[in-house]
Amino acid sequence: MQRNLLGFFSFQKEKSFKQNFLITLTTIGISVILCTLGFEPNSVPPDGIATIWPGAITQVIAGILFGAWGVIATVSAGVIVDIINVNDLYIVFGFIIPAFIQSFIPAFYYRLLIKRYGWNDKIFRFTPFLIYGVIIPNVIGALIAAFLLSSHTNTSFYFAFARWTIANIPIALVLGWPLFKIFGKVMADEGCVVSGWWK
Amino acid sequence: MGGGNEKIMPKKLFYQILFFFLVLGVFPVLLVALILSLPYHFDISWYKRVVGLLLIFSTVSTLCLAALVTRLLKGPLDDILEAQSKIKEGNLKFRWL
Repeated sequence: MQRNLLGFFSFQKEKSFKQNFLITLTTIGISVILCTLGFEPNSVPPDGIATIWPGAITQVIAGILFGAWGVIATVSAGVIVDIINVNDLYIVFGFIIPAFIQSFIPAFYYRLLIKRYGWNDKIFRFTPFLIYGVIIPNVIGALIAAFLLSSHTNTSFYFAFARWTIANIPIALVLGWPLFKIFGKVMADEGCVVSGWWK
Repeated sequence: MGGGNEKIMPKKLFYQILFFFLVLGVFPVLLVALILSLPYHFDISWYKRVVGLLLIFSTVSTLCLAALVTRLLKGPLDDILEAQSKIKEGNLKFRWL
């Protein structure tokens, strides 16, 4: 017999809109707090790339655990943080695309895995997390962001690309993996996750 | 995963919790205390960067700790519920034999 400790989020298998909305708001809150803590944009040359982007952690994990709700939450959290810190609308709206890709690719890959296996130990393995959760999305995101920045400001393409990957990949790996392995597993056990895209 | 047959205090889980508490919880706080005790001419931007990083570490480790504690609490709770249901319904396996 099993009982869920986190009753409100998990008392039914298909979550209602209200529960999903609450999950989204919570994810936005955590993401904004984390990102504003680590954000320190480079002033010379003036671009919007943070030295460390903790949003990469929430982008991977919220995308995997909450599907489309996680994607919406992390993208809007990124917009909020950029509005606070970067005073350039072109960059604020331009960064929506890499932010979306960085949470959409892990969400998409893990939706396929979950459809095939369900929430079991096969989901929580390191290699797929490393490749499809961290490296591929962040490299594609970095390419797009570097293209946007090099077309708009004086920053060189390779410099922006290197800074984006250095800001995202190590922290997503070092802090994202324990969070996914421990926190994600418990969330899945308690039924606080979204198995499909919306439900 | 999280079944009713776990021991009350699994050793691995206990050490995991201790690890997270010490390395990601206590260590950052100690470092912050150290930085705060440094002289005033310490570079403020460096201070901000280090404190920001430590707070990120602490936030993530808190989430991990919460998850581990949930798992730790859930084992005994499941045992009790299973025992309760067995008392209520009888041991079905035994009964049908």
